Amino acid sequence: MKFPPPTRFIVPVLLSLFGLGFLALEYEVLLRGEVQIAEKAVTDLASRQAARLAGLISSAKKDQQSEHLNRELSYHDEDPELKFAVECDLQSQIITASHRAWEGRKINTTPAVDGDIILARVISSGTPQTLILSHRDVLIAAQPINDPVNGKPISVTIIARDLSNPLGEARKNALNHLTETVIILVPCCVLLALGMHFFLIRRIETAALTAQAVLAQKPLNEILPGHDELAKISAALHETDGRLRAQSQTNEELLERYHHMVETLPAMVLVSRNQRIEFINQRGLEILGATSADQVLNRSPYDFLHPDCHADVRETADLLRNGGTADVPTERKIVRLDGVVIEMEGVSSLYHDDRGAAIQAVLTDISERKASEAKREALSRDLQDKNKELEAIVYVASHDLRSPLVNVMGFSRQLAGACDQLEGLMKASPDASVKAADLGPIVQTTIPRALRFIEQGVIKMDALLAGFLRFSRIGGAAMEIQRIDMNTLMKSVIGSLTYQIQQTHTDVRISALPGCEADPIQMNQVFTNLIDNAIKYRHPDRHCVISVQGHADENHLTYTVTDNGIGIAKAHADKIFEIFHRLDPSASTGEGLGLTIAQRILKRHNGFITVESQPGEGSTFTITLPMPHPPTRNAE
Amino acid sequence: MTLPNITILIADDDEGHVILVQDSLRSFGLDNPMLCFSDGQEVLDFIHGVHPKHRLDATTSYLLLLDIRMPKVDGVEALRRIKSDPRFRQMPIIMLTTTDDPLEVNRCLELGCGCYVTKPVDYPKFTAAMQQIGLLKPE
Repeated sequence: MKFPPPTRFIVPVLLSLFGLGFLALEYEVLLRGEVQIAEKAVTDLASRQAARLAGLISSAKKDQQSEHLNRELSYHDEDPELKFAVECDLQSQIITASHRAWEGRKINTTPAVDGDIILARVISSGTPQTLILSHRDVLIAAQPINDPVNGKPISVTIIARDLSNPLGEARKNALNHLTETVIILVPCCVLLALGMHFFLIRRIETAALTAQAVLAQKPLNEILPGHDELAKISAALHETDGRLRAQSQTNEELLERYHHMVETLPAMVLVSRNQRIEFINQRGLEILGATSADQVLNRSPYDFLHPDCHADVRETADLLRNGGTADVPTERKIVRLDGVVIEMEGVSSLYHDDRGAAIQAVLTDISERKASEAKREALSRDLQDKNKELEAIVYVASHDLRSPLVNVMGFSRQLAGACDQLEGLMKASPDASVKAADLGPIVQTTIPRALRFIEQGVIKMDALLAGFLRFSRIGGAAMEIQRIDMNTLMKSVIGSLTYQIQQTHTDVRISALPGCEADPIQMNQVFTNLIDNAIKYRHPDRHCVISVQGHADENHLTYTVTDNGIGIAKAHADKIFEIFHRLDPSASTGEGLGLTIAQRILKRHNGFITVESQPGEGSTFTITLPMPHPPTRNAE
Repeated sequence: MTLPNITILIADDDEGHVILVQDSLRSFGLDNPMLCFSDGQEVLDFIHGVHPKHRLDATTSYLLLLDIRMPKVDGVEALRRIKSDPRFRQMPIIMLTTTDDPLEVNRCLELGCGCYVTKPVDYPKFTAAMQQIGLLKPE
C-alpha cells in the first residue's frame, strides 16, 4: 500500500513547518541578543558621551559652555549617529543645545520631547540615566552636572543617539547567525527526512502492502529485516498469511469433499429458501428427470410435490420454522418433470446463514421399496384370505366332520348295547331258544338303524374329505392365463350341462360376451357351478330361465348369471360362499362347494363374485374381473 | 331325573343326532313329550303357531334344545329371534354344539344363552346344563 499524497507528504510538510518555526524562533532569539548587545554598546557610548559632555561643562566657564557643546557637536559631525545634545537646567529649560534654535526653550517644546522624562528621572535619582525610545529608534542618555560645592545637580546633559544603524547591524548579525544555522540544519533535516523515508515510511508501506496482500491472498513481498516493531509486524503478517493459506487449502479440500459427497449421494439433496429451490444435487436432477439445473432452480418446491402432500409439507415447514424437527423419515409423492409420480422418503431441517433461513431436505427414492411393499401387502392379503379359508376349513372340519362322527360314535354304542341285549337274551335261555318276539325289535329296528346311521356318517365324512381335496386342489393348481373367447367357453359349459338342462327344460339365454384373460378350465368351472346352482335351486312353480350377460368398461369386465329361481334371503347372502354351506340340504344334492370354489377361483384372478337376490324371485350372480392390459400376462 | 309338565323341543338337522339325543334323554329317565324340528325356521314356526304339524300349547312349559349349525335359519339366528320376542325370552334353552368353538359359544352368550352341551349328550353334561338353567336343583 502506498500512502495517498496528503498522507505521504504530511510528514515532510510538518517537518518543514516545524523547521520554519524553529528558524523563526532562532532568528527572534538571535535578534534579541544582537539588539541587546547593540543597545548596550550604544547605551554605554551615549552614557560616556553624556558624562564627557557633563565633565566638559562642569569644568568650563559658563560662557565656554557653547564651545564645549560645539566641540561635542563637531564630534557629532564625526559621529553621524549623535542626533542632538542639550544641557537643561533643573526646570527643563534648555541652556545650551546642539540646535541653536532650541536654546532658551523648554525641552518638551522641542523635538526632543522625551528629554523631559529622562530629565525628571535624573533629577529625582541624582544618577545618570538612559532610555531607549524604540518607536523612534533613538536612545537618550542623561548625566547630572553637580555643584562642586554641595555636590547637588545644577543641570543635566542629555545626549540622543540614532539607534537605527546599530539595530540594522544587529539584524544583519542575527541573519548571519541564522544562515549558519540553516546551513547546518537543512542537511540534517534532509538526512532526517531521508532516514524517515527509508527506515520508517518505506517499511510502513512495505508492511501495509504485506497486510494488503494477506487480505487479498496474493503473493507477499519480503519480510522486513531487523528487530523493530515493523519487522515484527511484517513477520507476524507472513506467519498469518501462511496460516491463512493453510486454512484456505483445508477449507477448499473440505468444500471439495462436501461437494463430492452431496453430488454423489444416492439421494436428492435440496435447499429451498422463501419457497424457491436454491440448490439441488445431480441425483436430484436425475430423479426429477431434468437435464439441466435451470429446469428446477428458482421454482417452487411445491411444483414438484404431489397435491396430496402439500398440506403436510406446509405443516412440516411451519414446524421447522417454529423450532420443531422433522427427522423422522416421511413419505412424499414427488412429481417428475414428465408428470410421473414417484414415491420418495425424506427428512428435512432448517438452517440459517447470512441470507436468512433455508430448508434443506434429503429424499431417497423408495419406489422399489413401495412396489415390494405393495407386493408384500398383496401377498399378506392373499395369505390372510388363505388363512381365513383355512380357518373356515378347520371350522368345517371340526364341526361338519364331527357331526357324522357323533352319529358313528352314538350308533356304535347303540350297536354295542344291542349286542349286549342279544347276549343277555341268549344267556337267559340256556337251551339257546331265543324268542323271535324278543329278538324282533333288536334285530329289525335297533341294529339296522344303527348300521344305517353309521354308514351314512361314514359316507358323509368321505364326501367331506373328497370335497376338501377338491377345494385344496384349486388353490394348488397352476393357472394357465390366456385370452378366452367367453362365447366359446359358454358353449362348452352348456354342452357339459346338457343333461340337466334338458331334464329340467331350462331355458339358457346367452348374450354376446366380451373376451377375458383367465385360466379357461377354472373359468369353465365357475360358470358350470353357477348354472348348475341356478338349475338346482330353480323355482318349483315356474319354468327355469337363466340368462348370461357380459359388459366391459374401462377397468373391469363384468359377467352376470341371472336366474328366476327360489332366491336367497338377505341373511344368507354372505354365507352361501362359505365352504360346505348348503341352503337346504334336503332339497338338493351336492356338497356345498360350488360357490366357494367359484369365489376362490375369482380371487386367484384378482376378481370377485357378488350376489343380489330377491327371495322367491331369483338371483343374479355378478363376476368382476380386472380389464387385461395390452401386454398380456403369461402366467402367475 | 324328572321334569314335570315340560315339553322338550329338539331342533337339529341331523336325524341321527335327534335319535341319539332322544335316546339319551330317555335313558336319563325323562319321559316328557318331545317334539323334533329339522331347522331353526321350524322352531320359529312352532313358537309363532304356524307349524304345520305341531301346535303350541299355552298351558305347557317348554325346554328347547337347539343345535347351532342348521340350514335355512341356524341355531344362533333362531336364538336371537326367540330372545328378542318378549313372550319367549324366559324360555329355557340349551344350545347343542358339535364343537365347543369359543366363537359360537360367545355369540350365544351375547344373545343371552350361556348354557350349552357338546354332543354327544351324556348324563353329567346334561345334568350340569339343567342345573345351570335352573330346571334341576344342585345336589
